[in-house]
Amino acid sequence: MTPVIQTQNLSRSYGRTEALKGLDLTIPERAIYALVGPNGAGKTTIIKLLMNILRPTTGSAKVLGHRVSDVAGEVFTRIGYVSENQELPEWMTVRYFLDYLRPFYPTWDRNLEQHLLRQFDLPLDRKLKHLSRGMKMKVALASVLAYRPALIVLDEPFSGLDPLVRDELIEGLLERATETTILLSSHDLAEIESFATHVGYIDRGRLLFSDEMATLTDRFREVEITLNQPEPLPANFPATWLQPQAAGTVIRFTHTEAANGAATTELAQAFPNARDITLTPMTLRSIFLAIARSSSTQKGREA
Amino acid sequence: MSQVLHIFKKDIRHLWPEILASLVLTALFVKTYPSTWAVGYRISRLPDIIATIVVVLVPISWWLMTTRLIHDESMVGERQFWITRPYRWKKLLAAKLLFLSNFLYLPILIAHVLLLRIAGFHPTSFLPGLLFNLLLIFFILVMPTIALATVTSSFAKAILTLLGVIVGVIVLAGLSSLWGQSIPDVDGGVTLGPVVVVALGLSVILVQFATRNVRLSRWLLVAAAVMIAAGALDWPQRAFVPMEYPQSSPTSTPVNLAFDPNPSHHLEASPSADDKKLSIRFPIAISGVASGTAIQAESVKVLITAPDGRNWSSSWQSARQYFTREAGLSTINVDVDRTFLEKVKDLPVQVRLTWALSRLRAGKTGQAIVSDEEFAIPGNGICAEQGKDYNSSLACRFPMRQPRLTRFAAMWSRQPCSQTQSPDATSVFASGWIGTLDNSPAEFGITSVWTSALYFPGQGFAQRDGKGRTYLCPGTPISFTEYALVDRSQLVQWFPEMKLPYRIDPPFLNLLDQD
Repeated sequence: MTPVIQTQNLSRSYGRTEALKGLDLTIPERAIYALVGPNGAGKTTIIKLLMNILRPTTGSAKVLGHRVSDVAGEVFTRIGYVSENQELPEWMTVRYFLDYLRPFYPTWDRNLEQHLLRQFDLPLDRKLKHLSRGMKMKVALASVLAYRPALIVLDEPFSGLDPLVRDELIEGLLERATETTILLSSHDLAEIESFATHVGYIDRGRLLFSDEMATLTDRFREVEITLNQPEPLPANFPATWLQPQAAGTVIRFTHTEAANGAATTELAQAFPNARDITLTPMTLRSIFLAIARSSSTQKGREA
Repeated sequence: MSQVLHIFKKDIRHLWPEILASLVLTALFVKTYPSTWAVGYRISRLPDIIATIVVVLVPISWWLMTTRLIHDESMVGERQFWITRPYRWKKLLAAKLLFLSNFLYLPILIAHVLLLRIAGFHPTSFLPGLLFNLLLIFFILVMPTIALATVTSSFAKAILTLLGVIVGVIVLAGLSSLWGQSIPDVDGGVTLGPVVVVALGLSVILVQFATRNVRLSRWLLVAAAVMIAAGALDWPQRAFVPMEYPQSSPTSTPVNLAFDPNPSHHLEASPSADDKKLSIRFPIAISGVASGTAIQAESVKVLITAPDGRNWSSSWQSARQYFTREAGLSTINVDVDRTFLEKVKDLPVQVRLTWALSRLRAGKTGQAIVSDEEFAIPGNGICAEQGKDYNSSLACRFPMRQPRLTRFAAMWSRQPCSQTQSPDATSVFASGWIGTLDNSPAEFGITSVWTSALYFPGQGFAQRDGKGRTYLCPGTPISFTEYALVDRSQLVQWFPEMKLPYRIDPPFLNLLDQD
C-alpha cells in the first residue's frame, strides 16, 4: 500500500535553530496518525512542511504521491487542512464561506455539508469574526470534511476547546475516518488516545518513535523485578529497557520490546536471582513519559 | 476561468465600499477637474481647491482599493486559510487583474474619454494615447502598489510601507537638490532605469503569486529602490551623456556661440536659489544656425580659471533655451560659487562654457487666428486669452499630452485691440516655444487633458507709465512650426579673459529690498 505521507531526512532550520532534524516518517493510508509532543517540539513545523507552507532546509517528502514542493493548487482538492491558528476570512458569514469554497472542490458533497451543518449546529448567517473559537474550528472542519479529502491534516485542532466541542469535532472526524487518512498534532495525549491508530512522538525536533497504537501498547511494559537480595543494576543494561531504577531488592524499568512473548524468559535469564517478575501494561501517557525522560537523560549524558 | 470569476465576485462582495469610494471620487474628478482649465485658474478658489483635493484623492483611493484587494489573499505569512485551498496562482492573479480592469481602469478610461469630450476633443482620435496612459498608470501607480501589497501582511503595515516610501521620496528629493545635476535629456538613461525597475516590480508580483517567497521579493524591491535612488541622483543618466552628446567637431558645429562684447549687454550678477552661489548672466552672440533648424540648449556647465591656476567648475546646470537663425543674441545664467568669485574678484579669469545641445529640424507648420472665443491651434490644442492679468500668454489645453515641441510666433500690436488698427501702427514680433521632444502618444497622468500656456516672452506687460504695452488682438495670425530632434552634441565655448561680478548688482538688490 502506497503511504499517504512519506518523508526522508526532512529538516528545517530557522537561522541557527534546528526546528526539525532528519525526520523519516511514513503514514499509511486510512491511518489516524497522531503526532504528539510538548509545545515547541516541532509538530507544527512538520505539518507546515508537509502542506508546503514552509520549505524544508534539507530532505524530501511526498504527500499523496506528490513531491511536497508540488503541494499547491489542485492537489489541495484532496487535502483538508485545519489549524488552530489559521486566519479565516472573518468578514464572511458561515453560509458565504461554504458557498465560496464549494466551487473549488469537484468532490464537494452538498448532502454531507448539510449534515455537518446540522451536526455542528452552525449559525449560517453569522460572520466568522463573531464566532467563538470552538465554532470557528467547527466551521473550518465542516469546510474540509464536506469535500471528502483523501488526507485531513489537523494542527492542534482541539487546543483550548471545551470538552463538549472537542467531542463533537472528534465525532465528526471519526464518522469520515474510514474513507480518509488523518494526520493530527496534539500536545495532549488524552485527546488522541481514544481514536488514533498510529502515534509518533516528537521532542526538540526529533521523532523519537512512530508506531501503530496497538503495537505500541503491546510493546511497552512496566517491569518490576523483586530480587532475593539487593544487587546493583547490570552494567550491560539493554537500550530497550528505559529508566531503570533500583530500590533495595526492587528494580523497575520500562521494557520497550515486551510484545515478544519471550520477554519474561529474557528477564528471568537477565536476573537469575529474581524472586518475582511482573510486567504491567502501560497507558500511553506513561509510555510517553518514560520515553521523554529517557530521551532527556540520554541527552544529559551526551552533553 | 470559473475560478477567476469566482474570486472576482468574492472580491466585489468584500470590497464594495472601496469600489464605491473610488467610483465616486472618479466621478467627482470628471465633474471638478475642468474648472482647472478655466481662464484665470487659481488654486485659492473653492472649486479649484476641491478639484485639487479630488486629484490627490483619486490615486489614494486606487492605492487603498488595490492594497485591500491583494491583502484579501495575503501573500505574507503562514496562517492564511487560502494557501491550503485549491487556488491556482495564475487564476488568482488573473482575478485580481480583472478586478482592477473593471474598477480602476474602466472607470478612469471612461473619465478620460469624458474629460476629452468636455475639453472639446474627439476621444476616438486619441485611442492609442488613452491606452498608453493606462499602461503608464499601471507601471507607475498600480504595479508598485501591487508589489508592495504582496510583501506586506496587513493594511497597517502597508500604510507604514507607504509612509516609508513617501519619506524616501522626500529624502531623495533633498539629496537630489543637494547632489543632483540638471543632466541633459538622455534617451538611454531615461529608458534603462525605468525598464529595470518595472522588470523588478513585475518579478516581485510574479514571485509572490507563484511562490510567496517574501525574502526574495523584498530583496528585489530593495534593488528597485536602489535603482530609483540612482535614477533620482542621475547616476545612470550621467553615463549616457558622453555617448548621446559627443563633442562636436569645429566643422560640424550646429551653432556658433560667442561672448557678446557689446558694452550694453554687460555681465550681471543676480541671486541664486543656492545662497552659496551667485547667478552670473553671460551675454551670448549666436550665429551659424542652419536654415530650417533650431538649437535647443539643454544644459550648460562652466569652468572658470584664474591666472594663478585656481579654478572652479560647475556640474551640469539647466539652460533650457532655444537658438534660432533669427535670434542673434541671448544670455545664459550660470550659478557660480560666491567664495570663488570673492577670491578672483580683481583678476581677469578665463571662462569656458560647455553646452549640451540638441539640433532640431523644422517640420509641420500651421496657423491659427486669435479669436475672442476659444480657438483651435495646430497640434490639437484649444486656446483662449488668459485675461487681463496674464495677457502675455494664451491658456491652452491639449489632449493626452503636452504638444510636440513647437515654435509659435505672432505680431503684437502696439495699439489696444479696441481701437481701430491703423495701417501704419507698428507691430512687435514675438515668438515662444511650447511642448517636448517626447514622441509617445500620452503623458503619464490621471487626466487626459493637459493645460499649458503659449507664452510670448516680454509681450503684454507695460511699464509703470503704461508705455511699451503690446496687444495680441483677435484676427491676428499665430504661426506654428513643429520641431523634431536631429542630433545632439556638446559644444565648448571659450570666453575672452574677463573680470566677473562678485556681488549682486543694484537692480537685483532693489528687488531684494522690496521683498
